[in-house]
Amino acid sequence: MSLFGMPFLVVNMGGEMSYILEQRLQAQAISNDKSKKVLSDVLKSMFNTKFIQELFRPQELYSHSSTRGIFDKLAHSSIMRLSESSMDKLYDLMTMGFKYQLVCVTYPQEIMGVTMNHLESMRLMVVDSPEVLAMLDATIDMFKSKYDSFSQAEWNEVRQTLLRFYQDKKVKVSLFLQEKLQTSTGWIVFPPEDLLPPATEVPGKIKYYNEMGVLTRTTNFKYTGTAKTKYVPLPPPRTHLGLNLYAKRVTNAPSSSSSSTATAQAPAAPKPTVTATPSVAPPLSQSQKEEIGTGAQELNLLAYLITPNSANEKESLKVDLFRADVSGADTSGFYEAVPVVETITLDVEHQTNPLLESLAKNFNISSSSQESDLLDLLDSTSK
Amino acid sequence: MSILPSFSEERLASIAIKSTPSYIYNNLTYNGSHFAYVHKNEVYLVADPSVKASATPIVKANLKEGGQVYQAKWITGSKGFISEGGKNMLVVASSNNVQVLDADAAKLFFSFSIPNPPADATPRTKFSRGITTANASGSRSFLLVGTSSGSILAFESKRDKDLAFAQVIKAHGFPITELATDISNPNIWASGDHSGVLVVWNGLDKEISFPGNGLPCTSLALRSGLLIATFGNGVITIYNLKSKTKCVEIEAHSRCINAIDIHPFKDIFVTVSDDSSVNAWALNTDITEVTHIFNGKIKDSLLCGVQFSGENYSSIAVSAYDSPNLSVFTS
Repeated sequence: MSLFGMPFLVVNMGGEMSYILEQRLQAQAISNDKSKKVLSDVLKSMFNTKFIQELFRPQELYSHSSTRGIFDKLAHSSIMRLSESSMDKLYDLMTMGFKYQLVCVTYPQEIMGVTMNHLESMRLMVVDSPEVLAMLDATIDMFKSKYDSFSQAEWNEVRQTLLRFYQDKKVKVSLFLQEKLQTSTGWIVFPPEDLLPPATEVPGKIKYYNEMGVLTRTTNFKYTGTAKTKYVPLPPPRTHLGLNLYAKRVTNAPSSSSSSTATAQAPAAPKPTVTATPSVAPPLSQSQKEEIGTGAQELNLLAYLITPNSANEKESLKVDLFRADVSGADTSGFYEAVPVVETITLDVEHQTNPLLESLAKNFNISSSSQESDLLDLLDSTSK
Repeated sequence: MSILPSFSEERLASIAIKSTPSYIYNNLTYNGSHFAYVHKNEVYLVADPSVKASATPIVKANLKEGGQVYQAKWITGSKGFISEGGKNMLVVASSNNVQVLDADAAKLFFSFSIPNPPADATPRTKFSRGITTANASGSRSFLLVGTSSGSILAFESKRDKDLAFAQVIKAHGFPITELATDISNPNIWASGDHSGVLVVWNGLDKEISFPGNGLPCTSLALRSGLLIATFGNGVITIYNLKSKTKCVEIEAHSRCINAIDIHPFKDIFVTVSDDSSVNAWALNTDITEVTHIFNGKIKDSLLCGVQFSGENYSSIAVSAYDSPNLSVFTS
């Protein structure tokens, strides 16, 4: 597929990670100075020149386990220390965040707009750190220079490559469920169609041409969709996708109401047009087994290039990303907002809820004996 | 013209499948009794429950290692084709090779490694994609498979002989997306690519080339001297091969069209898109007139494959990215 997918994978998931870290640091009343330092250190590693250069080298997408390895290192390149369970949940949120954006783009080039939204938001987190700011700006320039001339076919390829990476990932995120971005089976809900892609008209016309190429006749057919706005290049933010769903919603939100996912009206409850079967977790497929094999063998050059910024262990900041309060309920609002059904890390042996047990089967839990991969990380708590 | 079938969203059924379809072009194929589709590096066969109840409704194709699969398509060997005349065969186009399997996708008859592309300024992955069969003068039969370098591999089938590589047809400057043949005239076939260029062939000879406008041609069908092409901007274009000009343009979908299928014996075709819509069209080939006859929606789905299926091919089956079901509209 495309050899140009890695920059999008890492930067967009990295952007989601920054949003979540920022929100959680604030929510847990970590001092402003420390929060800024954490974010600045993480972003300094993410946009390190050597790392970015390697990222942009034409290459196949990394496996899931290697990608997770990159983010493990990035998350720990600051004074922050995350528990394994926190890291698992963080990675799931990052995964579903970017997958949602990829599935919902109106046209594949919009992935560039999504990426720019992430980059510009991350820029705002490091305005006080000129060194990191410069690295981010250099990365923005690299994106523009590499991808501005991509054809629609090449963008289709990038999107096909990334969607393959996220295929079968259907982790339920309670924030998405609340915002009606995801159904109870983990299926992503598309935003209502409004904008048309470039070079696309509102469907409905059948045009007839003579041998000289002259339009001689037009007939119409009924178009029942809702897309109606012709494409014009938009000023930033070019799309509502890739903006921060985790930020507190403020009344003067910059994006217009028609383009803001965070405040969008939930679509009317759909009459199911596909027989609603829960997304059944397939047994570990050959391709997954191959991927696991690849993950173990991959050099993971990118992870190797990440160096920690604060070596001072005395300063280490233990952050419970998704801390439970005294009642056991998660206080982040991202997980377990409704009784346990959205729990990502499954502690199945302590559950007596039959609904939860049946839902547990819906997660991508492998029975493979292979170690060292993301699936095993999800699985290990359910053994 | 025969009576047009009447499809309805009310008559929508699901076929549960084992693994989800990948988001690639043309990701569903049908041979009269079985579907096949691609899941990453694998291909799955699904028995059509409306045609025959099967003891093994879902079977994974017994592929040899080939890397990522870009397309799977059933072909029917014409008499003498790989000595399996008249039988269905499954052709699988992957990153590294082309494989041809029997009707149960259990036995591998033939495989061919995709040659490495010439050293190029633009690094790209190598793959094969675009599958069809065609005849050439002198009663020759070929299996044709496109590649990422824009060339088309021709494999010749000779009676009582194994399928064998015949030649590389230098065709396009961009990766091939699909190949298709006119059922009514199997010497005539067409190829499409990433830049929207379409080439029409007669046997192994290039006959017509239609320029592209930079938008990828995503799928193709031919019928009675007409070439129907779908594009990444939701447009369907029909070309008259006699006058060698464009005759119809349909603003059909609001997003990329990922697949087209033309009915084996009725003049209707169907398209599916990222816009979650299935559109069926009647085509009057005598006067080249198109009528929209059906729109169905499969909510929140990137539709990536479509095939007429069922008894008398009176249904429309659709595959969607990441979906645990195939959806079937019946008429």
